[in-house]
Amino acid sequence: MHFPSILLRYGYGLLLVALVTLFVWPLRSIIGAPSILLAYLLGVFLAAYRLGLGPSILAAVLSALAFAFFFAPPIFSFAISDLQNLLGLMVMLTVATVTSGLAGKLREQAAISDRRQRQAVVLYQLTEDFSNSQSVKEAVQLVPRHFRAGFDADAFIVLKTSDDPHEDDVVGQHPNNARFSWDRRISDQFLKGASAKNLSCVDEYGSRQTLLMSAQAPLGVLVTEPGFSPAGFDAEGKSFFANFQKQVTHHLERLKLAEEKQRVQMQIESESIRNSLLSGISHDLRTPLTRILGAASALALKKMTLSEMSKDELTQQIQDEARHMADVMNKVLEMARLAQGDIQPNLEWNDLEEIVGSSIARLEPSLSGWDLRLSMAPNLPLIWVDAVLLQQVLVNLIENVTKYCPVGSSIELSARLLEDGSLIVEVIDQGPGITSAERERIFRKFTRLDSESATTGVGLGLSLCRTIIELHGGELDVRPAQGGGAVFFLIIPTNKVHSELS
Amino acid sequence: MNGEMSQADAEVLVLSETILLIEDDGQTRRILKSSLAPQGWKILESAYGEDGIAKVDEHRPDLVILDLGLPDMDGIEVVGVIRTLTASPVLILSARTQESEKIRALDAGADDYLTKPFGVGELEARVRALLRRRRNSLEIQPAYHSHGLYVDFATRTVTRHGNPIRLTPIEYRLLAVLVKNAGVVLTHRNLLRQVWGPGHANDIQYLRIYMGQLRHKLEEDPARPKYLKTEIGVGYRLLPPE
Repeated sequence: MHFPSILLRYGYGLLLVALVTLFVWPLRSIIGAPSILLAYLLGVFLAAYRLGLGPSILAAVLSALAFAFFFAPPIFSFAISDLQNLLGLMVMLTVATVTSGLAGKLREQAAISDRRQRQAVVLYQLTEDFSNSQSVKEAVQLVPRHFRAGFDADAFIVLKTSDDPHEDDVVGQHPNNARFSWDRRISDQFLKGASAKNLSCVDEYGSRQTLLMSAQAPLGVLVTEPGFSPAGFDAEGKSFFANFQKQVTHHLERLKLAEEKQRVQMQIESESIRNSLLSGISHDLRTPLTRILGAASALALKKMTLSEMSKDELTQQIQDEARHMADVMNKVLEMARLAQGDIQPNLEWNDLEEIVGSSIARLEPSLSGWDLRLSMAPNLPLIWVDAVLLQQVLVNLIENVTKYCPVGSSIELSARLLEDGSLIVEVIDQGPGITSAERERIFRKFTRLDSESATTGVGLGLSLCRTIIELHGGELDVRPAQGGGAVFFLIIPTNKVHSELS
Repeated sequence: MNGEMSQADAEVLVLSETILLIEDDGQTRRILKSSLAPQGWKILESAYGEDGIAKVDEHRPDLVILDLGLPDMDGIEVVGVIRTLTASPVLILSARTQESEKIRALDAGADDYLTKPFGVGELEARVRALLRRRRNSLEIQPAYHSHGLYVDFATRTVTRHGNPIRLTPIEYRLLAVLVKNAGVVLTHRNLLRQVWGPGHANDIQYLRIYMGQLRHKLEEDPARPKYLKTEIGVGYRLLPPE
């Protein structure tokens, strides 16, 4: 509701009486004095309801004077000869005063409920925004806006984010952007202090700094602009301010706890990742090592009795298994490097044919049992990729097929351009296929579909493949193949197409 | 005829060739020595970078096999010093799988690399290719022949299993450089410099495209090349002559 200024309201009171007078004047001969008085009473009542106590009393007095002057005989004189008219006038004045009081109170209550509603809206929006924010840092950015909405003043929050003295505290609104001066030292003192009391003080610039405490530790300091003081508020305002602070504190504490929980969870997760990596590696190394030891000890113990052929076989086995171990080691090193996240892709113009060719060459000995078919579209453009990383992906995808699909089945590797110009490479197998539940899992780290199988591999393969392809702005996924089996496909954008030569 | 003669010459030369091993691990050195010595090469050994450099200066070996992870000096630094002393080929042994290391060593003047662990077969092939190239640089090779691929420099003809293959001048130049270094890795930079000139050392896309064309002309299955091997992230290697 909007209220005009005080002077204007008295003006409206005057106007109201004039209007009633003008309206009733032509009717004075038809209607009697009581009706005229009632018309004035209506005017006074309106004034009381819309304009407040002062203007309504003015309107009552003016109405009385107007009635005496214009309507009560003798006309055009303030004298009133009729006792009945005088009595009516007295009643009107009394009723006007009382209704004015009542209407005024009503209005006040409406104003209060309106303010309460506005405050509730501010608190509600604050809660909603805080609930949507993911971090303390993010939530704190919201405080200045809501504070302005609630108190029409500037404020921000200085945070204590970590116990590391080198890490800067986050400020809800950067101190350099603050629209007022404040003393950083005081908030620092507050945040450092182990005092469990709620502290509040006004610094030398006049800015109020209030410590927000969680159950155990300081959360942050609310800094409000100079001159802003909740002490000057009425009870209603004070309780709103207290509620506002309570909400902010509550949500900051909740977010802080959530962040802490997430950190602990990540620690646990990385611990379990490490364990599963170790067990994966030891499994991968133990298997070939056992075979090498077996073959070597057979050679050592039964040198005399073994035929030349079985000696050759055993030596060959030692060689193969040792090579396999070397492969595993190289892969683990590579993966460790990639898993650390320090992948700096060495992007260059590359020919997919070369990458496919060298991937096959790398896998050659282990591919002998499978029927690998290539279908590469002619005239594929050069691609802007890290050849070593992409080779790693292709080797992984093809090797997976040899691990999970029966020997002798066919593997198809196809490459072509999609309509949008990006390159798609598919590895299609005739294996058992991948269910949609498995599809979710296989791209996670350290997942092997059958963890107890004799198949080697630390289960980092597909998740790292995906990381690598995503590094190139592409995607890696799997879909069922027609007639069973799975299609692992990767899509790489070719938007950096070289125009000079192609 | 001609081919037989050079073969006989090579046999004689092989007997007198000296290989210096610079490797700190005694076990690895022993294996290297026991697999190379029976081939008729004279083997010198060193366990340290500085000592190795001194031996290069003193004995002028025909080939240096150098481990990149030496205790006293950075292997790549050793390559640099050796390059100032002799033009003899340097074969790098590296436990590091990272391509950037290999390329750094090759850029510093090394001629080829072997990644540990490696088989004796691979080692011998690399050593032979490097020594052959060293001999070839002393005389002009009239022809290259390997598994059906035949390049005749006198008539500038290339045939595969007797069928002539037509090459553009750039493709021919590219093949000629590869043939001169057959069996040895050539980095992208090196090839670009030799075929297109020093101004094009970074124009890798030229190399990719012409190498692709060459592969499609020479290979029966270009995606599974027999002659023109891709050393991913490093360069190319042509199959050594038979």
